[in-house]
Amino acid sequence: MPQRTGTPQPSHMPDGAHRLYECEFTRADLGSIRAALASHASAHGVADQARFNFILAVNELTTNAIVHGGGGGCVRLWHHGDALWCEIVDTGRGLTPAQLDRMRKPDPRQHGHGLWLVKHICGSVHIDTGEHGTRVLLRYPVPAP
Amino acid sequence: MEPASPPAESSELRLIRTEQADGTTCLTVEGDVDAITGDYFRKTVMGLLDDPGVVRVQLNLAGLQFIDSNGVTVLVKAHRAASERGTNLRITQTTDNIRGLLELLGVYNTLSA
Repeated sequence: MPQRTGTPQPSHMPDGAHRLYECEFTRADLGSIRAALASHASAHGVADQARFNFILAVNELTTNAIVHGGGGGCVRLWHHGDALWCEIVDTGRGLTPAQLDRMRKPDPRQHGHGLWLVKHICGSVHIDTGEHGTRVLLRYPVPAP
Repeated sequence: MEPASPPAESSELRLIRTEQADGTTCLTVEGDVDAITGDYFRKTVMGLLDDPGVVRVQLNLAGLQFIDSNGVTVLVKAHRAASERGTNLRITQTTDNIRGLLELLGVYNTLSA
C-alpha cells in the first residue's frame, strides 16, 4: 500500500543481489534508460510483451520523477532471487493523495493513469512518498533459467 | 501551423505526413513517444485536425517502438476530437506490444475502428 512519510526510506539491496544498472537521470536520459533496461531484461529472459511492459512501468516512474519529482532522480536495477528489482527515487514534493488514488482505475482520457499501469503490470509495488521525495520499488519476476 | 521541431535527445520520433489518392491523410509514426517527444507528437496529431483539408486520418504505428501513458492519452483525445468534427481517425498496423498496452487500457478497439 502507498505510504506517506516525511522522507523516502533508504533503499535496501539484499545480500547476494546482483547490481545491474544505476543512473542519475534528467529528462534527456529517458531513452537511454529504456535501452539499458531492455538489454538487462533480455539478458534475464524477459522478452516480448513482458519486456515492453517492464520498460513501460519504469518509464512511467522516471517520467513522474521528472514532472512531479523535481526534474529527475536516480534509477537502480538489480537482480535477486527470481526477480528484477527496480528502484526510482526523486527528491521532489512527493505524490499527492489524488495521484496515489489514480492507481485504482485507469482513465486513458485523462493524463495521470501511469501509476495504475505500473501497479497492474508489476503486481508488487512499494511506494514511499512524502514532502521530501518519493521512492518506488518494483519487483518484476523473471522466467526460471 | 508548422509543428515544433523534433527534439534531439535520447528519444527520437519521426512523423511523416502523406496524402493518399483516396483522400486519406496518413501520418507515419516512427520511434518513441515519451516526455521528450510527447509535445511534438501532440501538436502534430492535433494539428492535423485543425487542417480543414483533412477529412480522414490514419496513424500508421508500424514503426512506433514505444509510447508512454501520456502518449496514449493524446491518441484518445485526438480520436475524440476527430469524432467531434466528423473526421474518422484510426490507428493502423499496430505492433503486438503496443496493441497489448492499448488493450490493457481498453482503448484498442475504439482507436482501430
